[in-house]
Amino acid sequence: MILPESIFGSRLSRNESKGHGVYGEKQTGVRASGKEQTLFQHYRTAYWGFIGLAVAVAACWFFNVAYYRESQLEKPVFLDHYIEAESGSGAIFYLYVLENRGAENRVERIRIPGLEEARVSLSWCDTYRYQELAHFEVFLDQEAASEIYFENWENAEEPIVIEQVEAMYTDGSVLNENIGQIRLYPRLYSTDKPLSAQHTTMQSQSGQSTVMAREDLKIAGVDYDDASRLGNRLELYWGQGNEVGEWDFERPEDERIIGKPINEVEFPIGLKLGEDATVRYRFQDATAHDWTKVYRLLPRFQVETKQETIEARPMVVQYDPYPREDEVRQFVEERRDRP
Amino acid sequence: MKPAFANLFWGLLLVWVDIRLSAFDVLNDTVGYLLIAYGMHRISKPIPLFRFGRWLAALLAIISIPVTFSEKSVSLFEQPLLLEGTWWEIWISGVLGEFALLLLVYTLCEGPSRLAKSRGENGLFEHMRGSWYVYLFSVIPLILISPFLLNFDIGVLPVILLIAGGVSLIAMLLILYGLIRAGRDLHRINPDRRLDIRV
Repeated sequence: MILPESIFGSRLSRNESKGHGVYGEKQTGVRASGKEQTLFQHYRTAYWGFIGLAVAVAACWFFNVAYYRESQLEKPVFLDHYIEAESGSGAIFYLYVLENRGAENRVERIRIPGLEEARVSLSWCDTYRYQELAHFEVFLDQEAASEIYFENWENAEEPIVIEQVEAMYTDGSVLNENIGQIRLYPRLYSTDKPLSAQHTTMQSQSGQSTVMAREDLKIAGVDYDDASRLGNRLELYWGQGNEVGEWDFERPEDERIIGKPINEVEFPIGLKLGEDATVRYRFQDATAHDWTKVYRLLPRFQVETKQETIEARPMVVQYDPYPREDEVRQFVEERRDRP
Repeated sequence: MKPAFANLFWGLLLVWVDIRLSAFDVLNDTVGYLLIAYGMHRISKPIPLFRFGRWLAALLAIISIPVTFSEKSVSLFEQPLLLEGTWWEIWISGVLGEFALLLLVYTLCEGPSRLAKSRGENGLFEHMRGSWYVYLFSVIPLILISPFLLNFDIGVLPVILLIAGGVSLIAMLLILYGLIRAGRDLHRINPDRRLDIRV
């Protein structure tokens, strides 16, 4: 049996301790102190040193590997989308997937069943410590939607709802994934819209559109679908002419020039040909999970012209998720805790 | 003695240098460890410490087999092992492998240095002793700090590791040179005769 002493050095054998090697050659003071000189002062130093180091190394790795694994998703996660788009309008929206960095089962391509002509491509990724938030851009051109679904779109009223996509992974697997909802509306006006967006500015979670009247009309109200699900998360403001100032949601001191909250506006409001109004919006994240619910809404404007009363969807209200590192981590932990 | 130290030198060189063609390690670690084990076996009589060392080298040879014959990474610093490897793979291939290598290098320094001291070769003793300490104090930060890079962005850690890595490279070269020197300076010792009779 090999004892620690034999590994790390120890007492001398009888022959060696007399100042002569086993061949009788003169020793050089190596063992003058009565113990063999090793790389360490004493074999116990080496013995306990290596044991201590082994324990420390094992503890460091155990902690870090456990922590690392706790931070990994078991599979890529599609965020919960609520996307409204008009067919044939050249709409662009994004599908978001949270996936582990460097994982082998990443989403490579997405196919939207029934909407195969839509062009879906990986646009970019936001990088976090352990995950990446992939942005897949979906571009709906005329062919993608109108001709397939809305051959009689003039008469269609209900949107087509798509709740699953086909995800092709880098490991070769193909799975149907729930994405929330894509609500595809028939385009209400092919030409001659009575109300159209003139200027649109968007940031990730706020923006504005200026809508202009193409003829004399009245706006009876502005509403949007899924209001109950959104709760107070979405704020809409209305302003006309000098009522609103330069747009800057980032500066709270300028709240007064954002405009009037839309629920305080007294509709109907008349707009003459060429007059415009500005609708501003912003999403306010109230909880750490809000970023997982992604929106692209088409607010409905109730428009009364001389001839008819119609619904117009001239602007886009969009929420792009930009979660913080701690929010992503919390989300991942909760996903892992699910039974 | 000289051929045995040559075995140790080439074995250690194979272990430390990695040249990969596709997934295959041309300078095979398993062969390197077996060469070290053989070299230790040849001079285990004058250097009893090598009786322990040869089994350590044999253990490392076994641990390193998956690296040779599997495309799956067994490096602790690559994600597939951390994500998909079992705890057994992580501990055996990773942590135990790293630590056993440290012990093996210790035996490679300690053995010749004891023999050198007993033969009055103080120059060689000091060389091996110095090389060992340079190696030890450069490797300790590497193996203790590295796992924290998985989870924490602390700016100074990569700098420390870079410096430690550079120093450990120098230490490796010193140890390799020490083995050549040991083969030269201790060549008169009969490898078949026991110098240290302790077991």
